[in-house]
Amino acid sequence: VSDDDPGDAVEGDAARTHPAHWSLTIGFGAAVLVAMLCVAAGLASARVDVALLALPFLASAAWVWDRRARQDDGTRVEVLLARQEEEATIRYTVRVSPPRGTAVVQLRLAPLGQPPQELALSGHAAEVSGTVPMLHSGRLEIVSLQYRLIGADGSFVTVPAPPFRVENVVAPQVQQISSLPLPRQLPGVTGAHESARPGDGGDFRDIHPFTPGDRLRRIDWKRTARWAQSPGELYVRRTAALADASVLLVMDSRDDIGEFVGTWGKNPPAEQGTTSTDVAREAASSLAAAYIRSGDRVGFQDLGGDGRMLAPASGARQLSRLFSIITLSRPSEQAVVDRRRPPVVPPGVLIYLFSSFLDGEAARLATFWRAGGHRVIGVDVLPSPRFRSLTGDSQAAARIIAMEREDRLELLVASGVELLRWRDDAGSRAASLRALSRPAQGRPMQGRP
Amino acid sequence: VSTELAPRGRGLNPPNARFGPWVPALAIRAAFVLLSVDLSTTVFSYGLWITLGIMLTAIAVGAPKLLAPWVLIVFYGGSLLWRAPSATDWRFFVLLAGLHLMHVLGSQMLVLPWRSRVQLRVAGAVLLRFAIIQVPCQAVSWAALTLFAPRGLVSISVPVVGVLGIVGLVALVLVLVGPMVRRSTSGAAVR
Repeated sequence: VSDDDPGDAVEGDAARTHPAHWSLTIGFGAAVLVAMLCVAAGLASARVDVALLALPFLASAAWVWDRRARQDDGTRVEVLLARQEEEATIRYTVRVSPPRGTAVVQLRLAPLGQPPQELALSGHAAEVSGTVPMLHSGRLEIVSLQYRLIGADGSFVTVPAPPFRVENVVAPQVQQISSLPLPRQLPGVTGAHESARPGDGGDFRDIHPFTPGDRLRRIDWKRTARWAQSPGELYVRRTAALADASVLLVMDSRDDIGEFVGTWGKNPPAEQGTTSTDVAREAASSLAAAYIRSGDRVGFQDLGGDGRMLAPASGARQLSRLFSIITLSRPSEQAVVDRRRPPVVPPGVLIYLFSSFLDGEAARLATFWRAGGHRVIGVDVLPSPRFRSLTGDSQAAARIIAMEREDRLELLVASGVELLRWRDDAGSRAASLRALSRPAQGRPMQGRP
Repeated sequence: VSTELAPRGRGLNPPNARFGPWVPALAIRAAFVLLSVDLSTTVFSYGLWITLGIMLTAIAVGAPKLLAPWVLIVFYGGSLLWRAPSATDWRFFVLLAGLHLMHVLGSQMLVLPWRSRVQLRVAGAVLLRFAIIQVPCQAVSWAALTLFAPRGLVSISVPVVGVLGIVGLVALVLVLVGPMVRRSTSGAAVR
């Protein structure tokens, strides 16, 4: 597949028809020239055997000329995809239906962004199939292909058809979460979490002097008898109001870093292993599902640069929208590297910032939001780095980058941003979430989804 | 967006595409080399010509776009000038088939990258076409050499050869013109 032109992208099954523009190759001209030379030499030297050497060349040229394909006859290419859930693979089938007169279909096939394979298929039944593993979530390039047609004996060829890619969308895994951290304030009027405000639905909050509007059945007669100083002085038992939380998931999809440090910068999908975007998608989807199920409002903001955002809302439809936007988020060439000001976030919202923190931009935004009074949890989505096939210099460079990142994270924590490392180990992840959900000074109680 | 679960990333390369039995395109080049070296030692007896043939073979395999395969064909064909024509000389018939096969292999080398995987059906079709062309060519060559070689039958068979030639020409015209007329008629009907 051409390096210069990656071609159009098609999602799911694809079918295209291209006209074939045939042209003669120099092989055909060479064969005719050899035949003429043989005839001329035979006549000049009066040698019948020399002239007879031209016979197979002339016959071959006549054959391929007589059976040449017609100009502009269409070639149909179909790419069919089938998911094999048990093996976690996608099976692709490429079927090329060339016009009559085609001897060979030369196919250049690159599954999963790998270096292309050159295939020469029979023009009568050109069908190729294969499987690619579902290595990553999000939009996955299954196969990219380009082809040209070749006539008999390579005498005619067509102009290569435009390349195109076939993609498929793979949803991230959703992990179960049992403990949910909450924002510092719960401004909502209904929900599943106890807020600091007095109201209905929650547990006991305090004893308070009766005020107009209090219900009579809330009067605590024992406390009134003990505390009342004057006639008519009453005390009521107040309970906490229930409220929903507002959560904003901010995904830093400006980069996509694999676990194999040697692939950084090249990002070959088949060799980079788990990537930071894979982890971020999994973490964001899991948290979104858990918060929405507990009745909270969840919004989404992508720092990737093309302005993808979703205002906080609740409900199944919002969850579906969140899954979709999270799954399709990926690094963009339009990403803003240095923002003048951070994106505006709703007041009282809990901010999750999913980032690899390999540069200072995400940390800067987190610190800014924290200074504005929001509770900010930075989710570290960088997979554990692996240093396979790295030179000494590269290893040293990778360690320096890792140390800078650790310093950045320490400064982040010192500024009040909480940190959650999203790792494969479900136990340590659950423990971290429990610790973040623990009531602390100025923080409401733990939420239960 | 589908809802299928994606496993966490694994370092796994996708396997090769499947399309039935195949041979590497390098086999075409290997066959060309074998054939050329064999022809070189068959038609030349002098070491310098053999060496030249092998050098041209190396160029032809390395850069077929320089048309070296066809230069090689002319080079080997020129060897006939040093030998008397005879219907009983097996070298001529070997050369007739070998040069044609070199043209077929050279054409494939020209259009197929050396890293290709070639479906076996492609090779089968190429060899079948080679055989279909080669069989009548060998027969006609044998007949022509039998008739026209210096010690052949030409002096007593000229009228017969003339009649046969006219019959052959008429047959050739019928074979070639018939399908062309039918094709143009059917094309006009479609329009």
